Amino acid sequence: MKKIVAKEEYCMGCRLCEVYCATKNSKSKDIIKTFKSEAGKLLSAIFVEEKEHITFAIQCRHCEDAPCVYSCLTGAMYKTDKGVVLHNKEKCVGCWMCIMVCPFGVIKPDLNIKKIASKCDLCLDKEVPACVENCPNEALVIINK
Amino acid sequence: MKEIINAEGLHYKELNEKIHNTLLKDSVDEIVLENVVGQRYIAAGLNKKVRFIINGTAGNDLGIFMDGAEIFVNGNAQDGVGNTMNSGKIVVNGSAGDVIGYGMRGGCIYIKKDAGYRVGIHMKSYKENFPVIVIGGSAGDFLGEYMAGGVIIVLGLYSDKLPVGDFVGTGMHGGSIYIKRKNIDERLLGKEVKTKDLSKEDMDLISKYVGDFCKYFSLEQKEILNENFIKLYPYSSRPYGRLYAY
Amino acid sequence: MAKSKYKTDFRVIRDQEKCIKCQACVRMCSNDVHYYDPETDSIILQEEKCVGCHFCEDLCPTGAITVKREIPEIKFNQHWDSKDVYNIIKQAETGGVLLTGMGSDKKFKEYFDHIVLNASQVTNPSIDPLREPMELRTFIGRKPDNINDELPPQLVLETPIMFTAMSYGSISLNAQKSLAKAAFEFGTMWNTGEGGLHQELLPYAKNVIVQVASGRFGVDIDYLENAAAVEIKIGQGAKPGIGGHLPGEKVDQEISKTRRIPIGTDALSPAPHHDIYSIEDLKQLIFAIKEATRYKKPVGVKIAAVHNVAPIASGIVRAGADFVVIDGIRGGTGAAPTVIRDNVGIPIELAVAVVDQRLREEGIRNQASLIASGGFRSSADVIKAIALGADAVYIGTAALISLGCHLCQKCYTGKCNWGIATQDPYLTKRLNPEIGAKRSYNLLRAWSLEIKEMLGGMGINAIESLRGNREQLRGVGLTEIELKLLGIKHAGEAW
Repeated sequence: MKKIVAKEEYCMGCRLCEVYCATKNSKSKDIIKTFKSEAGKLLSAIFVEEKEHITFAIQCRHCEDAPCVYSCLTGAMYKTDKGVVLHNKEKCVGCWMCIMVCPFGVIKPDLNIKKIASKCDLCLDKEVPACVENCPNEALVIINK
Repeated sequence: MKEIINAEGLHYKELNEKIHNTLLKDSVDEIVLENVVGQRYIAAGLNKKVRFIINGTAGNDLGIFMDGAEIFVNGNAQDGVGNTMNSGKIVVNGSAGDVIGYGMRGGCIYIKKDAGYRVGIHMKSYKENFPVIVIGGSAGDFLGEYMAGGVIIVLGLYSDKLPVGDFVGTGMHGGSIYIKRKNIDERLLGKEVKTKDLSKEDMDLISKYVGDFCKYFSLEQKEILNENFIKLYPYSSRPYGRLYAY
Repeated sequence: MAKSKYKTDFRVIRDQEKCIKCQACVRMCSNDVHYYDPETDSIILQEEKCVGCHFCEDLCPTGAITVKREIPEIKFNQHWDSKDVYNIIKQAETGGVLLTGMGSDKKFKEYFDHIVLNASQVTNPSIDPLREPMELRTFIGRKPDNINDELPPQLVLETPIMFTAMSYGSISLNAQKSLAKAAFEFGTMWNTGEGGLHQELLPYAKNVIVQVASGRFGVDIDYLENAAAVEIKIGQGAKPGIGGHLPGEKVDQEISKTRRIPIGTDALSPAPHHDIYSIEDLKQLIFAIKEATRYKKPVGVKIAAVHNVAPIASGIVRAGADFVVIDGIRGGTGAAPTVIRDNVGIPIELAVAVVDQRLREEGIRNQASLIASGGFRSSADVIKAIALGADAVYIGTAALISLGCHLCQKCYTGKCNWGIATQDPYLTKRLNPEIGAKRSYNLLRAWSLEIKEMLGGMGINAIESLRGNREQLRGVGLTEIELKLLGIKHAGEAW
């Protein structure tokens, strides 16, 4: 299973990872259209934590015993056999228990269509996740576990 | 174990080669050099804790880049004593030349009599690595130029004249200079330097190093310490702050 | 009289159609050119603060930013440049010495651009570098007078290009790490400059030339022992005759530890080494270092190219130096007074040619390797310098450009957005040494391949055969005295 690791010594805090993640998760998938017409509905699954000059980006860690999977009422949060924690939008009822229990705070409310939760899905439909691909300083890397 | 090397008729390259070959034997902890007549670079780059006794006149750059050895010169030394020295001790029972302790980073140099120009230029210190130079007689112009750390003590024991020359401490931005006199003409000082009286910490510091000095040259510590000293220090760490238009 | 407002040097143009207000530019600009006003939900510019480093332009995810030069214009005047006028205004306001960074940008004749290379046609065949081996390997050090004599210590370079001295203090540790790693992996040398050798760079010590400058920062016996070679710095092309100056802003805890000076004080390197007041004193220091390192490594001397560079170089070689580095007027720096950077020294092309010629005439050319430096812009400059007599070259500005530098010349402020000429941890993070090492390695590789191509075209398969081979050069549009000094014929003249 591939895992995204942040290298905090190289993160500049530019937050371009958030921009590209939101673009990838948008309807239009085009960066300018996403931000101009879908503003207010942007959903990034990666977040840059910042304290003075220390910055790094964090997203879903796909925990081994994921609290979000355990507390999901409907089974919308599930773990694949490869170990990736995915979220099924159809099954989600928006109780937001997962948001409350996530120890990293990387699940966010999604109110765009209906009330559900949203998080990083490791860009499984892409060769390289959008954040890793676009980090200008290679502060996000993929490792294979 | 002690080894004696006769330096008579030897070029400095041969002498230093001999010294290095002798030091390859781990048991050697003291080397006595006889008939030294100005051979250069003795103990250059030496980082073994050995003791040298040099009988004669030590040549230029004695102990340059040295790190830890102890050198006792029974005679005079020339220019560049303890040049860029990192640690160790050099004791000269006589006078020394110019540019003593240039860029010195630690260790101690004790000169019984006079020293030449540009003593203690750009001495530096960092935490416990602290260089010290004590001169019993007088020092020439540009004492402590560009000093960034460490201590220079000038005693002027052998004459009533002021034991320092012009441009004392010019460009100084760290460290301290102590002179054993009641006062000093401000015109001789570099413009980055101010004088002040000694505090108790200063006196303790001087006592320690003057004590060592007296031990090496069999002098009376009490006599030397009973008179006034003045302290020179850099009053601005950025003496050139206003020089540039950014 | 109203105070003059120093106007902008650059215009920052934002294409509003493309700007997505991600605020990356706002966050990243160390000069605070962009700022976000939440009341109007727009990004506002303070163009007068822009230094033209192009970081925001390169970072912007939609390419919405364009940075354009705009020097405030005065009425058309062939004698007075706008820059001259605004420099005087700045001095009237501050009373200070104008500081600048990088190399001289004044309009001097570019001799490299007036020299052309030969190629083989008919009389001797070209060599194809893709099919036949090309030797770029270079040996730096004293060569013996007789072939049977013992060989003094040599440095082995896989290409005749090395990274020049840029001190830790003037540039960041990440920048040094990038260059050190690239040099290590390519098989060439890098230089510590006068700021000491940081312990994180010890893995690359096998390829380091350490500098002993007048401030003697970081110089102890371990420093000398770890090095592959030792370079005594007498001067550098950007500021011949004056000492080094690292402003107190750039002296933080790490610099304080490596250089052993108090935090926040200006790191001053005095103009002369205070133990070198004559050529004999220089000989003394050279041999002091050789003695201290037991004659196991080459010890050389770096000087700036000045008027009498030929006899000075000759004296240095006779004083025992194993290599002589000559830095021309285009050499770069982290901080130097503008008047000195732009007006003192001579171009490296002439300096290398006259030094090489003089050493050959005196029969001592073999006693030291000649390294040229000072603003080499391409592999063509490098190969021409070698043909004029250099054994190898040092690159500085080009190396920093490979790491991201855009020559804004504001290195002395310590606010380099690219994380190169700064110690600010917010900024040095931006230079990822893994990326930096790859890029500077690429630069070495690219230039080495180009040199091979040009050599092959000349029908030469070893860089040694080009060394001082003035026959492979011709001048175009040069005067007789220039041709004579360079030792080359004019284009059109045959053997």
